[in-house]
Amino acid sequence: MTLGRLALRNMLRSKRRTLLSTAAIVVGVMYLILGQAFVGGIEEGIVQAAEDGMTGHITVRVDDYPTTGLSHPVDDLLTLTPAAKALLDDDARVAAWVERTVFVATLSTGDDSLRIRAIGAGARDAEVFQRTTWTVEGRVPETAEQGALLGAGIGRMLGIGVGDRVILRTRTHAGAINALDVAVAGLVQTGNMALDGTTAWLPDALARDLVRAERPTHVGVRLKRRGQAPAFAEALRAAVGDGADVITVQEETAELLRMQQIRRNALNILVGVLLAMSALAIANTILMAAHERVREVGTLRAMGMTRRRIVALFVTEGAIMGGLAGLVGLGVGGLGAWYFSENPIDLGALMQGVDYGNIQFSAYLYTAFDPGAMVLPFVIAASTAVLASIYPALLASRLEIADAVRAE
Amino acid sequence: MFASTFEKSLLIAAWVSLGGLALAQAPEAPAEPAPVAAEPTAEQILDRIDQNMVSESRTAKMTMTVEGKRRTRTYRIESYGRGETDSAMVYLAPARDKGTKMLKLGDEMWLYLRTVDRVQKLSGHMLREGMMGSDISYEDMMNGEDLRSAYKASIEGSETVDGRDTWKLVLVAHDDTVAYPKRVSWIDKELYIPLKQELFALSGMKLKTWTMSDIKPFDGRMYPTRMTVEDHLKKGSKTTVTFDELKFGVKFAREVFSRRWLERR
Amino acid sequence: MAICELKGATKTYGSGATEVHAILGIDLTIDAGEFTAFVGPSGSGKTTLLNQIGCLDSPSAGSVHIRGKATAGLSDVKLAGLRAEEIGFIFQSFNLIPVLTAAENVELAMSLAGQDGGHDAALALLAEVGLEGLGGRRPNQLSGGQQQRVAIARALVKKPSIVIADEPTANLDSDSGRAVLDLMRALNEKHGTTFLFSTHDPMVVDYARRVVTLRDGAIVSDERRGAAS
Repeated sequence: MTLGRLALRNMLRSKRRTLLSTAAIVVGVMYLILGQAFVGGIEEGIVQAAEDGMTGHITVRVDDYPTTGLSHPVDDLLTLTPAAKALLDDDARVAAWVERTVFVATLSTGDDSLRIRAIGAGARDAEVFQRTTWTVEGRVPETAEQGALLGAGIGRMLGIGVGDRVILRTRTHAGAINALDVAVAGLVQTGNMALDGTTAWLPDALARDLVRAERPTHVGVRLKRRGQAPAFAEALRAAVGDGADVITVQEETAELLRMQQIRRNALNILVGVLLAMSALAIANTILMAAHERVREVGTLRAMGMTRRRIVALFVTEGAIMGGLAGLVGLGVGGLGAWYFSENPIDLGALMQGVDYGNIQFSAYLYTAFDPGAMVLPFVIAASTAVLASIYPALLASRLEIADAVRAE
Repeated sequence: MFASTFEKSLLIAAWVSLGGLALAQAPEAPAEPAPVAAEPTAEQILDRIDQNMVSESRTAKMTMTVEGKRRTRTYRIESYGRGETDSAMVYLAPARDKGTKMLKLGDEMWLYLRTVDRVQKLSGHMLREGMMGSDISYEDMMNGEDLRSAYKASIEGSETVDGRDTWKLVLVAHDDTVAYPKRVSWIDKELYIPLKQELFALSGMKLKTWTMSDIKPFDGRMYPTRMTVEDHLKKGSKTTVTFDELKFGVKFAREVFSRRWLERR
Repeated sequence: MAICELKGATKTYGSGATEVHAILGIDLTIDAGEFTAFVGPSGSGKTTLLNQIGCLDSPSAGSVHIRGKATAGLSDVKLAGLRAEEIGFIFQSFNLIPVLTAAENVELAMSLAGQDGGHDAALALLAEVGLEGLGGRRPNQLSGGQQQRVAIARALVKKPSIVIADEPTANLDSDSGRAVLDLMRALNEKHGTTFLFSTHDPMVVDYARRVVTLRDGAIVSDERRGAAS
């Protein structure tokens, strides 16, 4: 006669009560798993967006380069030392690297104008800054004649279509005003709302023609694995020397991820509250059960069951309840987390018109599906149930046998 | 001749930096005969234009009309000028902008916006913005280039502009640091005022056209009382400034050209 | 042979001014095979005495020995073990575990006593109490009389030294009660198991071969007689 069988039979005795009290655990576990998955997805989204959009795994830029707003001076240009070039070309960790000229320009249609960020880069740009989420109407220009690729948001704001011509006006590196009449080769939806509304991509030659700079403003690097960035950055810093900053995508997104930590904490608190509530529910259920089974407990003790085994009996019941509820929550939450990792939520409408500075967000919210991370919520749930049943179990065990056996 | 009409008031400074102002000393002009008997060289013309910086104190009242594609706004401005480099400006109208001030001391420029009650130092790209949304940028205002040293000039004949006889001067910047790499100016042969100026980008695209007109006697001198600026990259965009009042030799309280003045209500 | 011996057994509750002796200085010997009824009004110490014999409790003073083993000073765990091996209980309200079948109820007693072969023993004993084939039923599927028989089987399956029956007939009609008493006497005669009853029911007293009367925590009479028919 195992405790398990007794416990299980007792739980099935009152199915409705068992279900109700475990509902809170199911919900709590579900929320924790889904919440974790979404928060994880947001974090991944932030880092991914930064990586693909503006920073790659590693960015090299001039010392003291402004990092907020639409400010991209071309007064100071980057000088790559031979050591740095060698490192970038030869190190096995590097998948690709590219030079970029980033500057601010005024884009005019004649009727209207807009300050934009212009990125001039060579052919390898696509290897460093992934374009997997890009949807291009028209084409990505490769030569200066083909013109510029504009973010779809810009196109929308100024009423520009593929094939139209626009004027780009900017300052050269030296300070003279320069303006060129340029074709719109294509419009792109990058999946990052802020990028779409502020950025134009130019072939290297066109950018150089506008800005007359022989050296780039940025160097972007993509490594084989994101995790290699900090170590590689160290090496690159040494090679680059003073006058230039080497930033990893982890550093770049640290500030934003710190905000994420706040979200995580809020989520954990919320779930903590839920689990506390469910602990109370379970404790109450077991307390009620113990109360109803006073005579039974007394009889078992009279028959020779020790106090300890009585406690074990009730705690087992709590553990089974918690375990099963945890599994259900795990199942539902896990299913949700998996589903949304494949089918993201489209936040497009919500994100229009918000300035995120130089870090862009993707408009698609994916979850980070991590089965390993789901074990903890389950363990927490089961443990909560066990802990919640200890007190009522102890109470049950302390009954006076003689009185208990005669209870109604 | 007339002295620098808009000398150190904002538009005076603009005029100077655009290099289009023939700023002859007022007393000088009528007293002396034409400085050259034969046709002057381009350099000499530029020298005349550059030279005529009057260090007098001036105040002026002007009306600035900013025409845009969607709407037209009109401002009334009072300006003060001191020396070559200092100028200050107060908006008198419309009511929304009344009390907004600008101060230029040497190379630095500050803006006090009454609506937000804050003093802002203008730098970088802000200087390139149009003042109050007009086609005249703050940078255009600053006492930037000295034409003679910044440009290589050549005379490309004579033309009539606005009924007046002018030299057509083509100015090409000596180096890349000059904001407007190329200018074409039509200089009034008698008054040494650039009646019209076209400003070009490095690529050769025409960016702006400045014109001066309505030359009138004013306080004993001949001034253009009307200036227009057209931005060719913005269709239908035009800024017009007309001068209603101009006084010279005015004595200012010291604090007018100070930060304190800027912040005072 | 004495299966249970009490010497000067005293149980005190409360302390100081509120001190109460539920039983005071009781000397008593129970032999194997006895069929004894304990009578007395409430507050007489009858329940307390049987709690002591049943190892539900230890004496405050004096001694209680079950098969030579003293109960005084034993820990809860040791007492429980003693109970599991030596004592069987039968209750007024049957006290069967509702979620277990009749057979499982009986088996439970065996496993708590640490004895193997519970399943077979359970079925055998159920047959012996006249419930053959009903082992798979749950208590709520059995009549009162049947439930008490299961309880009897449960109490006896582990071959205890003593069976303590607390008002076993109180919740039964007189026919069922008589049947249950017949059964218990038959088992007592067949197996030699000691039966101790706590009762107000004169029918039970009739069946008893020894009647111990208590009043105010002491034994006032101890009568041995022949069994009723």
